[in-house]
Amino acid sequence: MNNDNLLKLQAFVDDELTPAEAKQVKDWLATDAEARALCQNLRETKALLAANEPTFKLPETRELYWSKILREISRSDAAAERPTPPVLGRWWLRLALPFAGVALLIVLLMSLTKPLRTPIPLAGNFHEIETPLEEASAITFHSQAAGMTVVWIDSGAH
Amino acid sequence: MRTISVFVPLFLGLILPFEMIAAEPKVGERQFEAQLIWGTDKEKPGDPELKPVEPELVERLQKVFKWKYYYQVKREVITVPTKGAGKVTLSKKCEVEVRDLGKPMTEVKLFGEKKLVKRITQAVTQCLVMAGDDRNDTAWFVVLTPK
Repeated sequence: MNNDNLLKLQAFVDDELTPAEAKQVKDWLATDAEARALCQNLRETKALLAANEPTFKLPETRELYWSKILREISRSDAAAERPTPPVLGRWWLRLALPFAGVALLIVLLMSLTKPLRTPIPLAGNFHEIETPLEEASAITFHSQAAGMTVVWIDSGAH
Repeated sequence: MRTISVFVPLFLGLILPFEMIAAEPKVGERQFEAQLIWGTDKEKPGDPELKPVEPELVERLQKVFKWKYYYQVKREVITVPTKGAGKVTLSKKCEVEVRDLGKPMTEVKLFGEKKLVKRITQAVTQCLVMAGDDRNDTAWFVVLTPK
């Protein structure tokens, strides 16, 4: 059975054919057992669907229901069209970030290439001793037990 | 008699408190006590001007050094103004200069016979002892203590 015949048979079951086409299909069904069986199957399926198709009842009137849907659609469209407020400081952040990056890079390079010459004055453990006399050597140590820092200058007097 | 009765209360009431206030460190000033100490194993040194060192300091020195006895040659208070320096003479040969480098950092200079022997830059929060050996197995100590 070709596709055109199948479609014509379906249209016959649905009463969509002209009287002339319907007579032609009836004649065909009288001579073709396979077409008859298929037609019977299609009718049973249609009857089954018609009997068991689920129905949905709106809780309110149809107009009210659709007006609600329309209102929601228009609201979401308006929200999509509204421009988003700019993030605070975004424009200056765009300017400041490259400068900050360059400054950080310069400081990093300076600290790597040039050590600090001046000592940090508040560094607690900073300790600097200079012995100008050539003949004097010195030993420095801190005694925790005695609570004193000792600078021993060995001048070779003994 | 009348003169004495006027001047004694005047001295006690005005001049003495003024002198006491003047001896106190002013705001921002720092004071250090510098002592020149001689360390020996001899119990009775010949020099009668030598004074005994405070027992607490002797105990601390004995923890570090080998000498049994310690005698004070001279004791001076160094007043150091903010960002300034103070200098004292502890003997004919020995002088100490303390310079404020911003609390608590201090620069200490030790001079021997007017020549700079030692320059120490550090935070003097505890006792700083500059010491050296001397003849006859004795030693000298310059003890600098913040007041």
